[in-house]
Amino acid sequence: MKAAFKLMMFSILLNAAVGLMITSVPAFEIPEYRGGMYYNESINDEFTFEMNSSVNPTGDVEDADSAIDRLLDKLNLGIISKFLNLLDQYMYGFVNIITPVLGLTKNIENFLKGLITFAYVMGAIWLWTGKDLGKG
Amino acid sequence: MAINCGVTNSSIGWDSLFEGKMIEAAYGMYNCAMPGWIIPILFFVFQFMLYTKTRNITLMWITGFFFVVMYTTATFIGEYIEALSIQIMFILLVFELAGILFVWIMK
Repeated sequence: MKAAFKLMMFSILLNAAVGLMITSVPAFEIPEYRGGMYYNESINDEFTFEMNSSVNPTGDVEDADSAIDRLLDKLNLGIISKFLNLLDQYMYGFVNIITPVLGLTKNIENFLKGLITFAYVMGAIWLWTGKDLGKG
Repeated sequence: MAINCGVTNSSIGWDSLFEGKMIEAAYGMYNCAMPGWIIPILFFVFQFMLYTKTRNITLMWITGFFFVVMYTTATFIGEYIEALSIQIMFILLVFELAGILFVWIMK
């Protein structure tokens, strides 16, 4: 239970530690060390460039209602995608970091993420009901 | 990156020795024996000694941090840096720092 939250805290701090080391030592500023984590590109590109290309309020259908609906749909999808990316970074950041370092395959990465998800679910049950399912 | 030991005097430190550059000569000699890895070996020896003597991760991290900064900014090492050695030291220092922050925040 608590181990899952400690792991999440540790992955967040691992993120912070990587950022501190990369910014403090110039020799460490090598793209591979970031493990695919770029603040500006992973979050902003998806939210701005793709939205610009796909959102078209005065599009083919000349109808104000449908244009607004489409815009809201696209914005909601963008927010959901951004939110899921943040969850992936902060709840599964530990796996995301060790995957390129150890050269794990996609199956093992997904298995580890599933394992951590299970621990999070157990932890959520513990937080909600007070029952520690891990102790039987 | 490949060091041709025994062929050129500059690669085994003779030229540096005759010019009176003792540190550079010693570095060239040891680095020729273990190409690109003498600095990480020293790094791990220092880290291991600090851990066994003090058990102080913060001291280990600060010392290793200074070590890495000096290693990567030294001008005479320049061309012989092995990319993997920096990566290994980076991973070790990052895990130490994460552990320090974790203990600092959670306790």
